[in-house]
Amino acid sequence: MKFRSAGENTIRDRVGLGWRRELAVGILSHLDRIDIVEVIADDLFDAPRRERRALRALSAQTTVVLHGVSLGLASSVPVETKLLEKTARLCEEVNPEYWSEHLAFVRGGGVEIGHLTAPPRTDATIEGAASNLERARAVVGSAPLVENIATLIDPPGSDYDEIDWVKGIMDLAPCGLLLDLHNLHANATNFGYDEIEFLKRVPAERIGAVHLAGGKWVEALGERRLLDDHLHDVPDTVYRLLAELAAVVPHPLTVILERDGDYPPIEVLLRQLDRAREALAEGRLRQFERIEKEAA
Amino acid sequence: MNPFELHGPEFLLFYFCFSLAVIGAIILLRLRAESGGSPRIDLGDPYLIAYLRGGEDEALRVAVVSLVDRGMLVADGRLIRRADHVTVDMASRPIERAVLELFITADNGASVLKDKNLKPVFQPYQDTLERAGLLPDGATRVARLKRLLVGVAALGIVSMVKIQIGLSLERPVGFLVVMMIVAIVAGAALSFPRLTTRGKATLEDITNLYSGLRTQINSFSPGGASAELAMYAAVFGVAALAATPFAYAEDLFRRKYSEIFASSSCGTSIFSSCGSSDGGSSSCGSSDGGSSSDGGGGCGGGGCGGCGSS
Repeated sequence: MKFRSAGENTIRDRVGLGWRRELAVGILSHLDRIDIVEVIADDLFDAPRRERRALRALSAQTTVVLHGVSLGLASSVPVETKLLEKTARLCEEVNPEYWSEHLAFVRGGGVEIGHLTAPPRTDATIEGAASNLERARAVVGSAPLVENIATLIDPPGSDYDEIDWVKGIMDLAPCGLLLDLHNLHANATNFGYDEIEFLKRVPAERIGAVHLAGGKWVEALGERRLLDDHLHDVPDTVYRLLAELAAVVPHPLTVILERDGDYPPIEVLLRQLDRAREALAEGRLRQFERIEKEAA
Repeated sequence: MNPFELHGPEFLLFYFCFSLAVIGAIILLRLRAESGGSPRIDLGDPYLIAYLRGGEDEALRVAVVSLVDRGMLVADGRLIRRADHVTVDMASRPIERAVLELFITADNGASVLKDKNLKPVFQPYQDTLERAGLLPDGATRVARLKRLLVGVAALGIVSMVKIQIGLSLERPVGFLVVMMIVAIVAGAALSFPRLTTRGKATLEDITNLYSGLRTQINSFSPGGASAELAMYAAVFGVAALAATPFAYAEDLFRRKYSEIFASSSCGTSIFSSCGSSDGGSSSCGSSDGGSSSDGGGGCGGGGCGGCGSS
């Protein structure tokens, strides 16, 4: 998506979809409306060579980025070298525009949790995450964009709130941010903070990509919580957050819609991409109006 | 060691190994010359993929199946006709429009595969795939021919020299002549595959990208997922629909025995009903109302005797 203001500035935002086998026909038939495709890296780590090679066929059609879910970067425990090497091999084969991972821990004491879990927000996890990011950069050849995660439980033993903790990691590690707006919305809803205030404190110049998704209300620990399940449509609030973001981020944004099941017809997903484009356009317009006003 | 000094059986063994080496070299050189990265083609076009996989007939089969599923063609047993409310311009792709034109009057699904007038519809697919290096273009075909000619020359020269030596010594050379012919025929057969190496690899990649359809197909219902059905048929073939909710699709192209065996077979006692009931054109469709379940199936699977008796 290209936005132009008085011939002065051009920001080409991109909007895409997470690759899922179930969506293959819909995605490959509508590449004129899908700018970029995000592939789950872990699905391919141990896949037969022919499957990884097929990904190159996909990357010949459109821009492909890789998204990891199993490194467990946000931990005082070092990331497994084997996983980093698999990521490196995949990046070498696919040559993605970027790769990304979550600021979560997924294992501890040799036990796989099987879930992206929010660690205690402490100096130890900030330093552990920074150290892991440095190792990732050294082994893979580039640092990942790091993604904020959703959690149903405010991590016990935390010394920082979420945004200060994320900024603490980014201060130590030279990485960009993959800002998941539904994760932000879910956490803000569940723990009662202002998501717009959160956005204002995010280092805008470090945001490399954005995730959109949907979720549902659940009962957890006797309370009503918003669960980020990727099985529902993107709520209006998330589009509003995207517009807010586009109003302040100075560079082009890559926006990915994540859907992991209960797949609707592809047209429904494409309409959500169109709504994301509209939100981006609205935010860009506000940004340029502000810039022009300041210049005047 | 001079191989031409080898005695009969030893030379035949040498020539066998030499032939394998020459044919292997022809294949290896072709594989190297025709390989390459993944090209940018429209992977959302089922007809392009079907054409890549199986040529004109496969693209036509996919078009017929897709149009039937979308209700633009009506299948009545093995007879297909355009739906009453459908006009040709309702289809967006040239191949679909061409197929709709063909079925203004009811006809057998297999008839579309024999229609020579459809050739121009496929030219864009052929051109696209040649440009992408997935099908051999003129230069590739010439290169293949050159490699084959060099190989044939090597096989021919070696065998001719030995044949001449054998004839001068009044030894039998029949086995060597046969072996030379077999080697040349094998070399020729392996020199001109329909797809290039790159085309074969791309087809495998496409099959992998769409592998999720294999499990999805059974959750679709006729008319409910036409894009997915068309892509499934394009990637895996209409025959792969046999054990799915779209099993009827395969029957659309099953020719009657009367057509397969032509007049001579239909004149026999086994196939007599084919020729007698309606003049040999569509006995199943006419005698049983066109239902594939009670007449059409019997004709295709159990012989025309069953069809005639219904």
